Amino acid sequence: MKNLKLYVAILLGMMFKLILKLFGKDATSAPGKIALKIYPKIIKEIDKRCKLKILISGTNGKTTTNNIINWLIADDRVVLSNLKGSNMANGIVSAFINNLKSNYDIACFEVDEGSLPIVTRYLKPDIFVTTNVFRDQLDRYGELDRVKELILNHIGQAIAIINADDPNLASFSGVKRVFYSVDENMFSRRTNVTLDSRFCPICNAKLEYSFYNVGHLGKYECLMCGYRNPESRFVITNIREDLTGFVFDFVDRETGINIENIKWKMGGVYNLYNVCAAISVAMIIGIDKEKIRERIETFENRLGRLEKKEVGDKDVIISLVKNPIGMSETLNVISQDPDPKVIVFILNDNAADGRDISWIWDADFDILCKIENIKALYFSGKRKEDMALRVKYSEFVLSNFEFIDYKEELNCVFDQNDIKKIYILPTYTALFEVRKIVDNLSKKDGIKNGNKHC
Amino acid sequence: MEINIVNMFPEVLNLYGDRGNIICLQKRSVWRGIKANVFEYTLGANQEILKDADIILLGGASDREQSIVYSHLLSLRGLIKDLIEDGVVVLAICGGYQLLGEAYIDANGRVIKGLHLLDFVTKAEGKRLIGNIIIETSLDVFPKTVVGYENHGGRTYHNYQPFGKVLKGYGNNGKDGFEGLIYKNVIGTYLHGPLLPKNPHIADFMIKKALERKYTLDNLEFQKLDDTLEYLAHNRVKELYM
Repeated sequence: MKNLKLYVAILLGMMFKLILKLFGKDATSAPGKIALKIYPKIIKEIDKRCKLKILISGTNGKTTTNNIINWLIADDRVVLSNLKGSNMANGIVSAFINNLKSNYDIACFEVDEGSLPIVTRYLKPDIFVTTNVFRDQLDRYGELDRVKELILNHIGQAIAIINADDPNLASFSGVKRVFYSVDENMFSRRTNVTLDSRFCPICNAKLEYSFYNVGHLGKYECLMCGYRNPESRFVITNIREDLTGFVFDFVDRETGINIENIKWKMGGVYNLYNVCAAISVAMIIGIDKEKIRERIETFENRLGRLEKKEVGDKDVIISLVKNPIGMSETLNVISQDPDPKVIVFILNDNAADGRDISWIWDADFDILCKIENIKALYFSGKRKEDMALRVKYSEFVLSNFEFIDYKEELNCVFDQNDIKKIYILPTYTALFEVRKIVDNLSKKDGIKNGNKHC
Repeated sequence: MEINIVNMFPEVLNLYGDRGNIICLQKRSVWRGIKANVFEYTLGANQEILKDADIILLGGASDREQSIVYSHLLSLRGLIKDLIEDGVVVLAICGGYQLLGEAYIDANGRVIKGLHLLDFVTKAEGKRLIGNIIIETSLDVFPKTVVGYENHGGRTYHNYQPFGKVLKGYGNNGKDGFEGLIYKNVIGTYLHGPLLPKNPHIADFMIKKALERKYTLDNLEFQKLDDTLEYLAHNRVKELYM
């Protein structure tokens, strides 16, 4: 009976996937939803079929970290993963149905914080990676402390790979814990306006920081009880900039293994944390050091986090933004690009975006003043007016801007002749549509023909 | 003219984009040529800052953080009480609003004391009240609507003048159809975070009241600003969620 249910669930899921494909829709979530309805224990089946199981959770960086880990480990192994970022239980089961096999070497899933209780009930991780805990979708999860508990309480028996620079996560007391961190670098700050976490998780006193890397990630110490960054086993250090991104060393302090001068093409200090977590996993699994270097240097992001595309003679950079830290850090990355550009902000407030858009007021939009050569700003999405209003109340003088409907008029943005770059910053539900639109434009080599609605 | 805006414990009471309200009050003053000084009243700050306040902002926080500031606030109770009676403008949001009352009674019946500056209590009952909210305010302003977002577990019951009548959403307790509270120049409300930018008429009401008190004026003539964007955002919420 049990087996029958499992097969019916898989079969219906697959049928659903085929139907969706026929209509040209993405099957990253719906097949799993159907299968889970019919046989909720299907996640246990995934657990059974995978030899090694890795879970990644935290507020920011799950998708990127998951993708880097996959790139590092997938070479000659059969890996099951939700690479496109569908990280609720539905997405995980969909990944299984879409890539059905009787056995896998490794399962590597990013899991939404809220889905951890359902997923870990049946899927018991061997390695659990934590990225960070920031404010995100408080309408869904309530407070920061609750998110932290959700994550730490579901690590179970796994080797926990913990971000030592996040004071909330670093207090994790499990036995099998390993810490990673990112050293001070030229982008580290002494002060910070967008701070989510200011208090010691042990004694509630104010934390003192010697530097901040991203939001509240940095080097902290509690003068009251002495709580501070634990000693990390894995560290990214000696961080330098080159033309295409960063160059850094990765050190495993326990084994003394040092991978020097790794070239990393992605911008954004927050991505140093993602790559550090990913390499830490690779080291634990025992991937060869030179292989890690080669793979990291050839990693390309295609998943909506500073994802680059070409449309005609212009570069389009799409970056998902969904919380204050993500927005501030993305603007910081843009501020390092001197090319003439436009920025398109797309703010939706659908369930998957988070219904509450208050977070835009916690993001640091004054960074816009530091960005050279902005030719125009565009605002789009269901709450475009709120977004424009946020910019109006920043230090940036909002003068040359336009409201557009991205579904119909995104091509108009490409009309500007004097720009080289188009930065598009959508929230979650707009991301996939925007990528599709940009891909289509790119196939047409820009916008020469059929330029409607402008 | 000059105005002192004091943000109480910004390192703690800053949940849900409360920064938006300070930015809004400051910018709207400056755009009118009014000097706006923003003071952050941090843990261990000098009480003098508070004595000279024209507008006091009290934001929301998580339970843990709220308990961190409570003892600090308690030592300021007398001073804040005098200021309120003297007509200082206060915007107290969510957790800050609840703190003005006598107590918060949690789900287990435990009584967590408030500052008891006003006579009301808040009780934890059932599920959190979350979503877009639109009210019709009882303040003498135009337009009458105030739009925002609410996210609170507590239900507040009181007999004061409400901030407004609920047109959409839950308000104080999801039952009596009222939202928030007005007492003298105190506004207590569950419309969390960036309430003022999308409701510039409320921001201007606060600035005006503060200046009238400070400079003993009646019906101060107030320079109009271009609020096209503000009301586009305001009206979008009405269009989407009314």
